Amino acid sequence: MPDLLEVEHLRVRFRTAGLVQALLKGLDDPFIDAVMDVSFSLAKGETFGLVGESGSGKTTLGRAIIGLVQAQEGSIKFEGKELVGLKDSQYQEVRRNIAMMFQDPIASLSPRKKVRSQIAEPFKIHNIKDKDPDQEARRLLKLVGLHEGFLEAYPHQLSGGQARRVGVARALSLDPKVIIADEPTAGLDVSVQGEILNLMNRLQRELGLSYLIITHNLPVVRHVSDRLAIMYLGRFVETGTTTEIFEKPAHPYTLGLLAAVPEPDPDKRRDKLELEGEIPSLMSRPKGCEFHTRCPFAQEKCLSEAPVYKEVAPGHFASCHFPFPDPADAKAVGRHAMPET
Amino acid sequence: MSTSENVLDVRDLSVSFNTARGSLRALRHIDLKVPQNKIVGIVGESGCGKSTLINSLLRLLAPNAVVDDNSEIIFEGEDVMEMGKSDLQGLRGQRISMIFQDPMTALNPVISIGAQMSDILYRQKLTKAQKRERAAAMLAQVGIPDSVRRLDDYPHQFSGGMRQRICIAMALMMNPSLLIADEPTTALDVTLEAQIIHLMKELREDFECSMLFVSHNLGLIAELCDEVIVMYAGEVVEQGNVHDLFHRAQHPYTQMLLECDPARISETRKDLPTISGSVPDLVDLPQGCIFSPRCPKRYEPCNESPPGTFEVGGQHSARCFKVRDA
Repeated sequence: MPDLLEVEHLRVRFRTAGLVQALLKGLDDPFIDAVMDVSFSLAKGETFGLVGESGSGKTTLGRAIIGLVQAQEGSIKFEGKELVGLKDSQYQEVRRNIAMMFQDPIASLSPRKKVRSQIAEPFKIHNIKDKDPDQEARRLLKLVGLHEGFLEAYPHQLSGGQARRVGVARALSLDPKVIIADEPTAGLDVSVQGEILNLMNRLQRELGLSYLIITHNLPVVRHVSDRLAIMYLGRFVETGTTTEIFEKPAHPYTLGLLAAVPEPDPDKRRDKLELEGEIPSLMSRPKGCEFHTRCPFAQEKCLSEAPVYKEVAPGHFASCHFPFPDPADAKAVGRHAMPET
Repeated sequence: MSTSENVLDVRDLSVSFNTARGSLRALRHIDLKVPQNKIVGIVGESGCGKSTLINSLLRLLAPNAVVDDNSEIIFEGEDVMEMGKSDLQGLRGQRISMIFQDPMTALNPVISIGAQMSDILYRQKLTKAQKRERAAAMLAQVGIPDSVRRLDDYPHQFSGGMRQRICIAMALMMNPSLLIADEPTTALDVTLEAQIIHLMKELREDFECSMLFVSHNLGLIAELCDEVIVMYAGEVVEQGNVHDLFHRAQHPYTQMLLECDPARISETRKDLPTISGSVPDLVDLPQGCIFSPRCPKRYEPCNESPPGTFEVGGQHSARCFKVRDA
């Protein structure tokens, strides 16, 4: 049986300059690749996490799946049906099955509409007549743990956690099979963050949902996802089960990301920095391995030859010439970003 | 003399706001000390009064705020509450400076970085060239490469991490005695966050500066701070050194806050702990302990009167009857 969602060699390009402008600036290629050669699959009831720094292309990938940006190459199959190349009107049908929770919970709600109409809106858009939108709004609010009084509330009257719950209710309105959640807990307090994640977990069990969670919060993703992909400059640099990636990261970037999370224990303070510098511009991708400019383990080979994305352990893929680095071998690189002492 | 050791000594600070619904008691009996060259962390969730506290220190409260008469804010031996307008101007940005959450909105988008940084030195009798030189040196110190040339760049030409470095440089331009950092890394990626924290540690050695570090990220507090204050609904519920707080937390709120942090849960689990209930209405305070409606350990005394601050030992104290009765 094929997986619910299958993405293969997906590429999303954005034009950065018009023809004339490109000619004047002497650009060979006026495009940037926001997502490059990405493949993964999502099974029913599974949670897949997409992790990376800002600008790594994780949100663009999510938006490409739901058809908000057009993919140029590759394929996205939902229940075996090809989505790349569909017209916008055809995509409408797809969006009943794949819903999205956008990043900022309050900003993603219309400020002038009551919660009731925010939740009922999808029924109008999809022209669903056999369900009473009002009754559905009540049912959905109950499902996400809010009482009916919230039906008449405006977004500004909601707390961050409540707005997030409304976002969940709205995403659930058309009984989707997949939910793409972009930073579902950003900006929430830790105690509220737990409530939202528990709610999503309960809904997954009850409704058999699949989640694609886009986040840069590693401690959270560790608890909620079954499998993970680490993105850098629009590519997957590592994928595997969450347990394996956290226990035995194959790519130096993953190692760096994990080391950057501070441990909430004053006895475990760090004295050195694992990952220096910043993500390079998509306009000028580094030659060879694209991570070599920040990699503390880079060698001669990495500067000239791009690594192949390959299986480094069963079910565990990474693109690195020298996978599973030993943190003890790290050397300082990219000092340009740090003060000279 | 005890005051000379503390850069900042806040005693019994209470602030309320006049609202249409009545008096909203945003801060109640806050005691806070920032010793020389120490970093004091303030932890608490949204609505706990962190921002009101910071604004009180700089006397930047909204016009409907009422500060209780008993409140004292002693900064380097002077009472901020007694200061006149010109004293306050000398205080803000010069003796106490601040790093804000969002580095993009903290910088003026239409003025070059060099001009914004020189502006801070307006009081100083230096030539324009000297001011630019100081600004460039400061940028280099916070790790902006090619600092002289970049003085003429505008904020949008820098990345988020670089902008926050610039904000830190600006805050340190006047060599302040107290630096307040209000969630300085919330807008940044985890890798940049680690870099900024690393930078702050380095700067701490170079500038003899005390710091108030506000965050809800327990990991950062553990990483950077010497002492910690935990706030809940306008009260300091627990304070002590960072080791006591993280290893021997006494107040149930602190304990639950620590339990909720996914980074502290070593075994992966899909069902995460939470603190049930919500923050109380500060217009209509409960009669007893402010945390009692959500507290799993409440017993009879908690409903009768609010607990005072009880010492656990040394500098460690908590506002909980369990500590008194222990």
